[in-house]
Amino acid sequence: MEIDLHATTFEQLDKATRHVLDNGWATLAGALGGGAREVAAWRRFVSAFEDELDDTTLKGLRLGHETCEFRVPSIADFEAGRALADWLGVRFTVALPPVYSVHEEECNRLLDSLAAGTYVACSDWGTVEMVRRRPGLIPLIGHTMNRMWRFERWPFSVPKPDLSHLEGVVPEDVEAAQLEFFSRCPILEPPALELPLEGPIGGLELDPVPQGVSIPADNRIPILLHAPWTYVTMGRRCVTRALVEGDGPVRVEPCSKPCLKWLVVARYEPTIGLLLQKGNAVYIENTSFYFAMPDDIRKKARLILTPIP
Amino acid sequence: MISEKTRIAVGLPGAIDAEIVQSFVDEGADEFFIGYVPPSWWRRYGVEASPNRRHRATANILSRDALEHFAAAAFTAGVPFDITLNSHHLSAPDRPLIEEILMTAEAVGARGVILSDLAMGPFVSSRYPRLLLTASGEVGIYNREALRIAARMGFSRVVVPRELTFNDISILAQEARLLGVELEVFVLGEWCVYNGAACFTSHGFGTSFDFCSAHVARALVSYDGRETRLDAGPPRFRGEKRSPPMGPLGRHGWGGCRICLIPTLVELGVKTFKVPGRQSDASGAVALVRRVIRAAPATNEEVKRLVADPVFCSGTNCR
Repeated sequence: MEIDLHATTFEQLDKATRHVLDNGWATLAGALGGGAREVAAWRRFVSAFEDELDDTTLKGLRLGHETCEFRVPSIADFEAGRALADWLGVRFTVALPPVYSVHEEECNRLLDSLAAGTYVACSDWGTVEMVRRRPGLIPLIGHTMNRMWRFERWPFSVPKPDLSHLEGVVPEDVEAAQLEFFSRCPILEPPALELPLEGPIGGLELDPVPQGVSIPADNRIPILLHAPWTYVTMGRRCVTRALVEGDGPVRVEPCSKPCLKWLVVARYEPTIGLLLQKGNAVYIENTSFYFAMPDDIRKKARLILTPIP
Repeated sequence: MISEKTRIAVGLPGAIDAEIVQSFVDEGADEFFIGYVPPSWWRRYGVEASPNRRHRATANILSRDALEHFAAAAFTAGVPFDITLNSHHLSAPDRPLIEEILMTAEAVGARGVILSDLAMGPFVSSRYPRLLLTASGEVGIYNREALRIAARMGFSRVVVPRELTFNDISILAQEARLLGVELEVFVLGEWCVYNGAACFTSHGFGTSFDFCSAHVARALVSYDGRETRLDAGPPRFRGEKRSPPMGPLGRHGWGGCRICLIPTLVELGVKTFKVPGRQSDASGAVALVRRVIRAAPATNEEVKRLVADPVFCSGTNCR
């Protein structure tokens, strides 16, 4: 098992790395100042992971914000992250949010500054292409791109949808077919063979999802799994900011970053787990989904651990 | 280029007859887009696992007969239509079902298909050359680099994701002109809280509320270890239900209605404006957009006079 440790700021990454080296994994979320729910979720995961975690080592650092355009670390921070990874002798991944037109030049400057061998986890196809035009960099398809649905899909929704208007449909058969449908990843099994981009992909980031993940036997793209948080959705119109600042989630201009001190805990019933509205994104705790995954996927995949999303 | 004049593309729900088609055309619709889930698909997957981004039966046409009736009505009205095939979840095992939809689209005279997977562009154009390709907002074409991929893959039109700002669209529009790709921009549409291309949940089918608004409405906000419910919190939260202003047009906007921007967007080269309606009633909105296009107003104040709805134009929907 290889583990990448992810943080959204260099300070957190540095602190987390040193904590793991000095104290191990168990108390990491608390040491990073996580909220009660984040700390509890981390404990649940680490506790369930105990046997495997003993045998694993830290093999990578991942730095960046994958959903917010205003929280991308500076070039200097990424350089410091890379230096920390080099000091540890592990690989370094830069995580980027979707790159909107107004930030395209900024993104190109950042990519120009990255040392060869850096992995870049992307959140849109345009960014993947920008990375691939720089042969020294290795693109990853980030988990904001894998398109696997993960929440409130039948059979997890209550009440279940009424299918009586669909003549000849057998609900049990449809339920099984839907599970199969939603457990496929369209990136790994595309409907057409022509990938939109030429050249290699360094890996595909997946989230453990409640319906399970099926990976084709002939898959050659390296798989990375996120834990203990499954990404659900993100919005450029930031819900946290809207709630804290008392306005609809509509503004996108430079932000006062209330997400740095306010935590929104979403409540949605029926629900299949703890939902966390973190800044402009929603995550769901995935400990039970992670351990329900087949061993051949779980044990082969590289693991990205994010104590505090 | 698909069109020469400024056009309005309108989404239609599943139950649609010739009279409704004609009424939208009379209001100012220039083209339609619809969802088609053939019986072979829904018998296997139901409608919840849809080949497009709407997962309710009412938002989709569910039989070939109904599709042919709609196509005939659109043809009679002289209005082209596209079929959406923009699910996030199209994958190789479903290729026969996908091909059935594409074959049907060609057979009933659809102008084109709206895809969310850029890689399907060359595949569709080589096998179904009569179908024009539109890249759905679900692709997430956020930057010029992505626009260039779409052009390379044979897409003649790109739907600008709802979450892009005017500044983003301006930059894309310059590139689109160079590439010969047409941009389609949402106006007066339902505004998703989350980015469509990166949103891996769905509207709350089978429930009376949507995931996106429901989980926020019931949220707890925590600061320094203290938690408060939104409806019982400090003054800044009290009484705020997070719903859009409920004027006659309220349901159409939760920020960024863009109707004041139409004249500027036209100057930038945007030729098609999109009014969603597959899960809502687009009537009224179509007529208003047409009035704004025809009047070609120069100022926001003139647009507001055309909207004639002070609640809707109170500022909340402008950003």
